[in-house]
Amino acid sequence: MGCIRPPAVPDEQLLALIDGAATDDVVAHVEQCGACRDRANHLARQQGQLAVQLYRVACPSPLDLGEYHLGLLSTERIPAIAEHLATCAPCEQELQRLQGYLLALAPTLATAPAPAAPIRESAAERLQVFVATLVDTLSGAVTGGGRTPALAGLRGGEPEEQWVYAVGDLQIIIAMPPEPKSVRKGLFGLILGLETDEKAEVNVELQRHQSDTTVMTEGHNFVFEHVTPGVYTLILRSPGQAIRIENLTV
Amino acid sequence: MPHDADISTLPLAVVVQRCQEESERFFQQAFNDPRYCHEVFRRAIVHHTGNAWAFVYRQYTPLVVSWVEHHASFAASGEDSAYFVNRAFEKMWSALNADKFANFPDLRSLLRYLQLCTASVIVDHVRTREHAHFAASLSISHQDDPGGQYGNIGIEAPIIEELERQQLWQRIQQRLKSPAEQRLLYYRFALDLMPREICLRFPEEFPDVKEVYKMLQKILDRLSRDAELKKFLSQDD
Repeated sequence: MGCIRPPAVPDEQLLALIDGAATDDVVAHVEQCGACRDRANHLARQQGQLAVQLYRVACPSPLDLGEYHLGLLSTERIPAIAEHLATCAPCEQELQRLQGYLLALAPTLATAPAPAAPIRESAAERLQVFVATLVDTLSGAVTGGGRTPALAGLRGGEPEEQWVYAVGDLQIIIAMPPEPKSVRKGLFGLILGLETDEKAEVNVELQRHQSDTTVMTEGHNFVFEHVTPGVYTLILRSPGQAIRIENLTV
Repeated sequence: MPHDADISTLPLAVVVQRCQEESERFFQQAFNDPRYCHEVFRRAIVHHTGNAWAFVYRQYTPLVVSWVEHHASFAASGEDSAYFVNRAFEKMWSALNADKFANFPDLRSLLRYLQLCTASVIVDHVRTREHAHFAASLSISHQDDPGGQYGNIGIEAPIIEELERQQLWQRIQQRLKSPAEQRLLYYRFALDLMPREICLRFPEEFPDVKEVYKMLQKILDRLSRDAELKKFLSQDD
């Protein structure tokens, strides 16, 4: 059986037809033409076979994802998994759920409370280290009768939930806006209470728990983009001292 | 308190008994010494001591049961907790060896890994079910196609075994002619993205949906002419 009005509809247009993305002309033609319809069915079957057999074929196993999260994967395997996670939403979601699961189960591994040890950086650094504590959670960025200063990257955008950490006279405001079509988030921060000459000297590190992943930026108004969900420690360093925000969950 | 070196020379029966006692203290929220239980794991995994592994299994089964039951996907899994508990221990047993054991300096890190194995076996199960649902949905959605023109395509091929799937994937990749073709096939079939979604998500690589369909057509054409791959792609031929 041949096409009723040659030339026959090209295969790429039939593929679009299968996806519901064909032009009206093609739809009208195939409705009347048995040969082109048969060809479309054949292509749909081919695609279907591939879709069934290749669905998530390149995804790392759940154990590999977990070992990646716990920092147990060999160094050479880490880039491939990180690259995969950047494109695969189901794996990102599985990793996110795994992080939540392990976090929720963490207390079941807790041993009897140990005496609090002073936090100390490496002996060579001899830093004063402070741990900032969460003092407030703000919805819509309104506090104390006035708006908090807008964070870099959020100016003009929708109000985001913000977290206020404090240590001494310093306040650190954190916001984590979601990124479009991704489980990743931005992490924006603003340090309030610094002297003018201190502002340029702040280095900010974001360390992922159980992994070697650390990213750095600087300035009192800092931005980390494309942050993978997980538990992090944020470290703000200035000459002679460091401030840590522990267990920051993105 | 004995040094680690002393613990490693103790008879297994003594280490096991101390592990039980220290575990009791752990559950009573009292100070406890986790090194004895770590030592039992070490003998099980590094020395393949069967009795040590049997003890690990017996000692930690109740804990693993509670972890299984805590998992969000357990209730809908259709399996009982014992099934996942066995799979979790098997997973840990097969995943760890003497070299990898060096990454686990204490009991806490080992139990966290056992938690990971527990989650992994449940997610493995979820993936298998989702894959089956995905295959079924393809068939159903085509059968439901209005008018049935390009539908009722009857994709009934069983999902092949994982190893065979990986071999198929390797074989297909070898037939592709460029990195762009490899990425397109990966996006379209491994990630199940429609061509329009591919253009939206990767506009620099694939700016034009018509070009995506053309490339896709060339790939399908080439694969369907491949004798080795034909059985997977051309049910009706």
